Amino acid sequence: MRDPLDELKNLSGNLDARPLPPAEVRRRGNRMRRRRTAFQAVGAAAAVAVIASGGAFVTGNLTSAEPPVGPAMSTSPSPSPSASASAAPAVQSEIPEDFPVAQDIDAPEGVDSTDLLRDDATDQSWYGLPCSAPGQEVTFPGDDRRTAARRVWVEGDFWGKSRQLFVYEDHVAADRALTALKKAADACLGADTPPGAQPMDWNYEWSPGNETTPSWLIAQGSTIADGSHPFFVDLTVTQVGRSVFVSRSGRSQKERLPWQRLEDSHEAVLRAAWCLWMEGPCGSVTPEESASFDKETIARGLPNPGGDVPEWTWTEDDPLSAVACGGPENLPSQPTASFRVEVSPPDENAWRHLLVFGTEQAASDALRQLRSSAVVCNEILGTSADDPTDPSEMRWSLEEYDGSPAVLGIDGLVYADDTDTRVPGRTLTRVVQVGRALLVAQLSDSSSAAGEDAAAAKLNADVASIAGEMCVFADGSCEAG
Amino acid sequence: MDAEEFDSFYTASFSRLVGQIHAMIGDRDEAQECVQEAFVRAWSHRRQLEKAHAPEAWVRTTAYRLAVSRWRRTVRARRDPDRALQRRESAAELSPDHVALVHALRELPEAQRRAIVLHHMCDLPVVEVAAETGVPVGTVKARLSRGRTALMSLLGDGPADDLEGVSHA
Repeated sequence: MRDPLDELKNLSGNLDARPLPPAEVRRRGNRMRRRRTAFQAVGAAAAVAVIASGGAFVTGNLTSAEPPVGPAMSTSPSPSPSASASAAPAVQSEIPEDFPVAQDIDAPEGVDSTDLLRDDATDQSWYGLPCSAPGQEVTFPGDDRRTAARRVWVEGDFWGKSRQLFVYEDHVAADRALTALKKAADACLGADTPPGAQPMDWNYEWSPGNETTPSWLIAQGSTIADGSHPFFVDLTVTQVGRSVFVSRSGRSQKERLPWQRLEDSHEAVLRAAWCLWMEGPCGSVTPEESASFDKETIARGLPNPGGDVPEWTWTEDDPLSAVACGGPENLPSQPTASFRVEVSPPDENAWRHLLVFGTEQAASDALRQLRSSAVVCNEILGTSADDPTDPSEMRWSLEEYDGSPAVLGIDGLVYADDTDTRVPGRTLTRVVQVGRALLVAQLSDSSSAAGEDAAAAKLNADVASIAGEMCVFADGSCEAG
Repeated sequence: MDAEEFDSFYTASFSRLVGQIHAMIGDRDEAQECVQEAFVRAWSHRRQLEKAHAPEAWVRTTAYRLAVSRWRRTVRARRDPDRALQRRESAAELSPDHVALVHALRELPEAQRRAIVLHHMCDLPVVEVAAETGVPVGTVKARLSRGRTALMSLLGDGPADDLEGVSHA
C-alpha cells in the first residue's frame, strides 16, 4: 500500500520557491524594527488631549466650533518644558534652549564635560559626512529653507564627536536635504577619496520615511588599512518631520557597533523632535483647556514582547479593521481621530483600537452599525445553502451588556466543532462606547477551550478597566468604572 | 545571530518552511508570503530569535500564525476567500501526487493537519509537536492516528483499519 506520508516528505522538494535576497529581508526587518521603536518612543511619551466639555479631538475635521485641538505630551519623559507645554508645531521654527541635542555625548577622557561647544548659525554646514574633508563646506538643496540649526561638540575630542540638528520650513525642504545627502553617500561608496579627506571605507543603510514616519541613514566608516592609526566613525542621520538630526561619533575600537545601539542612543532626541516637528500625535497642544487620555491606556493587559520596555506597534489614523462582516467603509460616519495598538505574531494576534467621533450620537451610530454587521454576517456566511461542505466560515455570537458604558460583546467563533475547524481557536471582540469614543479590542485565541474562556475573561477585564479611564470622552456624567 | 548567520539560516530553511506551511494551509503562494514575512519579523525580533532554542520552529510558528491571521481578516472582511485555505492551486506546475496530497490535507481538520505536517514532514517527535501546538502529548498522538487514517481514506487507499494501531514516537 502506498503510504501518503512518504509523499508528504517530498513536498518541500517540489516547490519552486522564490525568496527575496537575504539582504532585502534584513533591510525590511530593520525598517520594521525602527518603526516599532519610533512609535514606541512616541507611544511612551504621548497622551491624547481632549477638551473635556467640547466635541473636538486631536486632528481631522471637527464638527464643533472649538478650534482644533491636538494631543499633548505627557509630563514624563519630557525633553523640555518649553517643548511640551508651550510648543505650537505648526509655527515652531526655533530649537528650544533645552532641547536634548547633546543628551548622549559622553565627555571623552581628559576633557571636561562642561566644555561643550555650540553653534546656532542657521546656515552652518553639515559636519563630518562621508567623504567630506575637514573644513569643507557641505550644504544641500533645501538647506536655504532652514529656520534653525544647532551643532554641539566637545572641544579637543580627538574622535570628532558631534551632534547637529537642522529645522526646516517644511517637510519637503528637509526631505530634499536628506535625499541629497543620500546621493552624496551613494557617490562616496564608489569614489576615490577627495583631497584632504581621510581614506575610509563606508557602508550605510537607508530607510526612507514620510511625513509621519522618520527616515534613517545609518553609516559606518573605517580607515583603510594603510598602517596609520585605525579610526572608526558611526554616523546616523534621522529626519523627523521638518527636522534632521545628525549624530557623528568616532572611536578607536575595531569592532563594529550594532546599528540598533546607535538608534537607541538617540531615542530622547527622536521623541522630542517628533513632538515638535513631526505630523501626527504630538501636534499642537492646549494644555490649559485639555484633559489628557494617555493612549497607552488602551494597551492595558496586552502582552509586551519587549519585556520591561513597551514594544507594541502603534499606528494613528488607520481605518478600523473589519469587525464581523462590517468593514470600516460601512461605518455611518468616520472618526475624527483614532489610535491603534497591535501585538502581532510571533507574540500574539491582538489589537486595540480607539476611535473618537465628533459627537456621542456619531459614536452610537457606529456602535449600532457594528452590532448589525455581526447579525448580518451570520446570515451571509453561516448558511449551509452557500456551501455545506465549506468549513471556512465564521459564526458570530452577540452578547449585549446592559448598563453604562454600553458594551457589545462579539465572539467570533471559527467553528466550535473541532472536527470542522480550519483554523484553531476563536476571535474575541469587545466594543465599548464611552461618550463619543469607541474602544474595539480584539484577540485571536488559538489555545484550548479552557484557555479561550480564560482569555475571554481577561479581555473583559481589560476592556472594563480601560473603559473606566475613558470618561474624558463623555459629556456630562459618566458612570464608567 | 549576526547577518551572516541569519543569511545562512534563511537560505537553508526557506524552501523547506514554505513546503511545510503550504501543507498546513493548502496555498503555496500564501505560504511563501507568510514565510517571507516571518523571516522579516525574525530579523526584526532577532533578540527573541537568539533566545529561541529552535529558530526554525520560531519562524514556522510565526508564519503559521500570520497565515491564520490573514485568513481571519479575509473572511471577516467578506472578501472572496482568495488567500489561505482557498480551493485553488497556484499557477506553477505541481505533480499530480503533490496536488492530490495537498487537497487531501486540506480536507483534514486543522488540528490533525498541523500535527501530521509537524510530525511527518518536519520530523518533529511527538513531544515537540505537543510543545509547538500547545496540547498534551496524548492529544497529539490521537490527532496523528486519526489524521493518518483519514488521509489514507481520502487518497483512495481504503479506510486503513490496519493503521489504527500505529504508534508515534
